[in-house]
Amino acid sequence: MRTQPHSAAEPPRPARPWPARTVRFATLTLPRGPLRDRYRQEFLAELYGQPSGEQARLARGILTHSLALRSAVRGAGGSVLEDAMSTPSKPLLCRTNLRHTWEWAHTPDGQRFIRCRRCLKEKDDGPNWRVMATGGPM
Amino acid sequence: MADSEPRMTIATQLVLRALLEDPQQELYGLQIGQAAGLPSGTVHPILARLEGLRWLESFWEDIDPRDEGRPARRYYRLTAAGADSARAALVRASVRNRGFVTRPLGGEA
Repeated sequence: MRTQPHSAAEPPRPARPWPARTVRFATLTLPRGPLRDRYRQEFLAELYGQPSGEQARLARGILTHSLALRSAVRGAGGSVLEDAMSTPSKPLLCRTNLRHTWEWAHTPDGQRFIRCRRCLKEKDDGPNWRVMATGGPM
Repeated sequence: MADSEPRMTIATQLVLRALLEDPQQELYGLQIGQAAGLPSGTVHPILARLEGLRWLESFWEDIDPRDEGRPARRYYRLTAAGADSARAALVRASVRNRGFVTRPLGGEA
């Protein structure tokens, strides 16, 4: 096992308070328990002995990639940012339930129903639902 | 294949190349980042994915922190199977990249 003891001329520099806090904060994104403890100790050990400016830079890098680390340890296989970019978002009017673009659709067994073309919400309420579901006026 | 191979991003390729320089070597995250030319924060998610695929194994350094004057580090090493998989994946990635680079920009021969 390799070890790299510090030389006598260069006293070891423990993790500075702010980088250490930043690393602790970054690891809060990880599941509580041994996994979080492991990465927290690993990052703090890497800060140890680095110059102050380098510690700050490392801690910043760890913080900015903390969500990617969480995604990786959960086995998602992709970064959260990439997931967010690849997932189509609902239009604002659909999200706020102010306006949908209704259309007829069919289930695999041939039953008709009404859904929003843009967000795929199914229309299943209202007094005319039964009429609409059987092919009546919308 | 998709489940047994990480996404071969440029950063992943750099990490694998750095580790394959000496597959027996044990390196901690900061050293891997320096060898790959990547910051530490970028390296750890990649290492976590590779460890999840069992291409890498990691372990705590066996030291007494009081004697060494610093906390124990977490070291990473390629597994034997991981080294083979990494080499094969890098070859596939380089073939794909070559095809991409040599494709004519105008779309016509």
